[in-house]
Amino acid sequence: MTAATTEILPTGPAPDDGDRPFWEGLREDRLLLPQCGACGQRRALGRAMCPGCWSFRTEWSPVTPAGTVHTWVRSARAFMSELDVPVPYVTVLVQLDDVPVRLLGILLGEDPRPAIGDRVTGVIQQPVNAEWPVLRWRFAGEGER
Amino acid sequence: MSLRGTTAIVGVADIHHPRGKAPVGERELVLQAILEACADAGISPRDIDGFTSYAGGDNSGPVLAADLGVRELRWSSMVWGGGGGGAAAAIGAAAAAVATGQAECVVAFRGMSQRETGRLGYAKYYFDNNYLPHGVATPAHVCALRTQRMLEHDGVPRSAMRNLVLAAYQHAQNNPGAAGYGKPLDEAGYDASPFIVEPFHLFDCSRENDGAVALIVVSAERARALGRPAAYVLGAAQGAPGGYSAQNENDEPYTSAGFADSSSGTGVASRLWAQARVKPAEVDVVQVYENFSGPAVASLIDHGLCPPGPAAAEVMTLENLTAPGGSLPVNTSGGNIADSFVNGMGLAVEAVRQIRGTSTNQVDRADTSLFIGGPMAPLVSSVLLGSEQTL
Ligand SMILES: [Zn+2]
Repeated sequence: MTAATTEILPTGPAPDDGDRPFWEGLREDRLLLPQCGACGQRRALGRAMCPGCWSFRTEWSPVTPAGTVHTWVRSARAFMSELDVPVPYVTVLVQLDDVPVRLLGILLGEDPRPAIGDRVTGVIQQPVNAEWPVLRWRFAGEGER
Repeated sequence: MSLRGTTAIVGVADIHHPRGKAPVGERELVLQAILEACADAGISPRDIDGFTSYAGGDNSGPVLAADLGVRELRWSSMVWGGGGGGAAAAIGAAAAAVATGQAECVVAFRGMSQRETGRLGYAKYYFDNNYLPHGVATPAHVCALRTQRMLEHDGVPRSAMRNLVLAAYQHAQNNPGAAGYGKPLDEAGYDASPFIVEPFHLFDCSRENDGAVALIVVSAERARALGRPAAYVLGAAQGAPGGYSAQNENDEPYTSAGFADSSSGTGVASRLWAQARVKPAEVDVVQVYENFSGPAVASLIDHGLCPPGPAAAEVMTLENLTAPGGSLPVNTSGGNIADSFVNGMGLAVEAVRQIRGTSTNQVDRADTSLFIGGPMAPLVSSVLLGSEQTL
């Protein structure tokens, strides 16, 4: 898969740097997700505090990038000229196995046809036109390409 | 204290042009719509003392008040939440201001001019780096994610979406102002249209227009004094289950359009029905915001107008959805898909027309007329209007 564009794909930490450990984890080929430093509750990316106990203490711990397809869409048009994958492309929302968190990502492969419940494995890729790596997915059991 | 029957919509205006083609800017469009709505109501623009809107925009209450030369500005509020989700909430905020005596004559409005604000359908600025690296860059994408699960996991049939679209096009054939007028659509035409973001075909997606819409809200007492047919506000509700649609796709219930009950046991839809003292089965006609057909179906399910899952097929037939004879006539002007789209506020005007008896697809006797605002947004809203007989 080659970049069809020289435009920069948006990647990297939010303006407040709140999710910087997630992005730095990807650079180390690890999936790090937030967890409350007080009560341990997992939460999605992008939240400033623990919605369970209101602690601002956040820890980042590794999670296995594996799960099932919660839902998916196939984009038939190049909505983003800066995207480094050919059209049409499939985006999956993955329910992780280890933690109650869902993550988005592009499903790799030749014209993939996912179904809800399909098992997928995370692949951390560095697009040539992005500053930071991104998490993508392939069907479980399909080898790295 | 209840809002029920204390306020009414007495004047409306719905101006639209092809997208990018408005002859004047957004501010002038909004002012034109306000003047037209005032004329429709039989009031002077100088009588306006409040403004409400949603989804942002630069034309604030104080700016418009100065342009119009109003005597005193008493209310000015913008609904948070993004997109068309706040459309009905803007009417609700106007009604709340009037019902509590904080203002007397409030206009709920929305204007759009693509020369100034670009295409809403490609509103990439709304999405951050939790979305953009994955090619999720438009409202269509996030609505498609939820819709695909509604279809594939919940078992709502494709025919529910398709028939909503076909009913809108059928209604548009009687509305000379509709973009779909003279362009009938059948099942084969729908199925043959290309995917934009699967599961959405081209015809599942709303139009975009330049234009402005305004609705004037006054007290029920003043509405009666004006002596014209008024659409009384029976109920208005806004909100969402806590954290809905604002946690990077981690919220529950994921296939709700946002109107469903939360863990507290209430939601936008159930609060609306309770406030209005009306049951879903008693609603005569519905205008449901279709940014895309799938979220509109989810909205009908959330409001109890259509059962969830495979049983949706039984209610969502073309016959049921079509005025005047259908049991659940929807989007009787053609809606956002086949009429026009000014961020969905044109649907509210059609809801008023049904109460007045002036729709191009008038149902036999519309005493209760529902407007459901934009679905699958972080905040959603709906408003139920009623005739004088419902008070
Ligand atoms: Zn906690």
